[in-house]
Amino acid sequence: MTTTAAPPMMTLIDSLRDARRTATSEIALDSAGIRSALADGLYSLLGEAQPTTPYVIRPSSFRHELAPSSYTPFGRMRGALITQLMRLIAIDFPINNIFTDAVAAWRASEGASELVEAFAGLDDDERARLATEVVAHGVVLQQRLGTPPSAWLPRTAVRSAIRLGGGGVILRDHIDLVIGSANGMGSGVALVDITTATLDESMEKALRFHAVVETLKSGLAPRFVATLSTATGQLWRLNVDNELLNRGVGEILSTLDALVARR
Amino acid sequence: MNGVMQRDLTNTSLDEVRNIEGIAPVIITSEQRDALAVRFRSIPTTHHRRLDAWMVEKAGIQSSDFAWSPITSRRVLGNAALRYVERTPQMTYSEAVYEALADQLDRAARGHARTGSLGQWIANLDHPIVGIVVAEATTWATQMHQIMGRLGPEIAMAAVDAYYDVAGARTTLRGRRDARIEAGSDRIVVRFRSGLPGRTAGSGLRADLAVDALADPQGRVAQRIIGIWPEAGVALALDGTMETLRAGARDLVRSAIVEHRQYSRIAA
Repeated sequence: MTTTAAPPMMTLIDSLRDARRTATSEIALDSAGIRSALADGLYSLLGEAQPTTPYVIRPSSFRHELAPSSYTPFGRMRGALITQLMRLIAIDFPINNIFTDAVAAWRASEGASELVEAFAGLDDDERARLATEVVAHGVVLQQRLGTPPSAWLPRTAVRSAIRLGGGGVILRDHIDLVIGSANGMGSGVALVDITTATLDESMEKALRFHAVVETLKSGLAPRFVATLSTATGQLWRLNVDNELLNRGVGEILSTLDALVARR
Repeated sequence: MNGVMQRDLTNTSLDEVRNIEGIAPVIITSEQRDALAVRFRSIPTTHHRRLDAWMVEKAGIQSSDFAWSPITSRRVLGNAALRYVERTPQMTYSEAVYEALADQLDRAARGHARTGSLGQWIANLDHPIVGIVVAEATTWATQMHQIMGRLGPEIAMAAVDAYYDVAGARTTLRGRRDARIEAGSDRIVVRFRSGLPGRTAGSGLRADLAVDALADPQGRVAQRIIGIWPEAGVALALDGTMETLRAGARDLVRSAIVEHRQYSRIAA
């Protein structure tokens, strides 16, 4: 596993551009092996019995215990608004006002939800506090993300839902930004996660989860997974290899084990 | 192949689902069309019925709460963008989406867009929401085109969905189709779907296949329909046999019956 902390003002897109230029030794990624390791692990945990309600594992399943502050309604709103800003930046769409544009985009994307209702219920002070936080995070995002060239085929808010174990387990994922392509001969895909929290061990687990889900979904492992914290401006980039994928599988299984024990 | 074939989206699996060697083409006769029309005419209606695969999958329940949003608009705009990219390959996906958006705005400005249409909705959007609409449609178009590239060189976007008006039954059937693979007389219909395939996904595909065949003036049935769920990494495929076609038509008739019962209940 390679982790790269970029120099202070290098954008995430620059970092990926550099990494794509750097020749790496070819690693044969075993996507079929990943699927079967996961299937074997699920069988040993669940057996043949089908749970009445499927176990759902998401990136937040790894982050929950370690970073509870990001999962308050306030933290989730901030994250949702920054995601919308990122989507506008990724397609080079002009932003007139960071906060109001993010709010308008978020409401249109989200529709009616508990979080949108919670936003509507904020008093003036809370709303002003949210606005200033979003603007601060938005500035970091504008400085540190960079705009992906259209030849990199940027896709935003890409969802995944992988059914495993005969439907007893669902892996749900949401990638903020996907760039590059997988043509079947090899993958040049990079998965990018933007977070308003600080980077910690849970984020590394989330990145490995993204890599495993993408591998299961397309049959091809991505080349990189990366994250940018708009709280600190810190960037992480991991090259995807078999070790990373296997660790990801192990973490999914131990999370499932905990879910089974709790039910 | 009998029934629904389920595969992942690896290249080997995609090669398998697009292989229709040995599947004999089937044709709907005028008698079969007439028989279907008789079935629909026997189900009373006080309004013009519109039936599609979505209703079949939802057991005849009408979608009463449809509203345009960045997500609901992405298929229309994304598919239109891909038709631009097919004509002008040097165009980027986002440029093509802007073209598709401009077409919708043009229709609205000329007064050709009816109330509640996509064009009308887009014309009234705030600036940042237009950005999210573009982002969503660009993502849809890019993902679809990447998968299409793996389904072989004969694949092309479908110009429009299939529509079939059942004579004398005040019923319009709609079959969604995103792309088609054509080589000589061989034909495959491709649909891209969101989310996870549900238990009734096969029935939905059967209905789409049936409407596609009914909308063909010669009644030619595609040898296969492939449904692709990119988010789930799953493809479902069904052969265009007479048995599949009959089941698709039966499901559409059943949806009309359920819809009639719902209206009768509301009226009572």
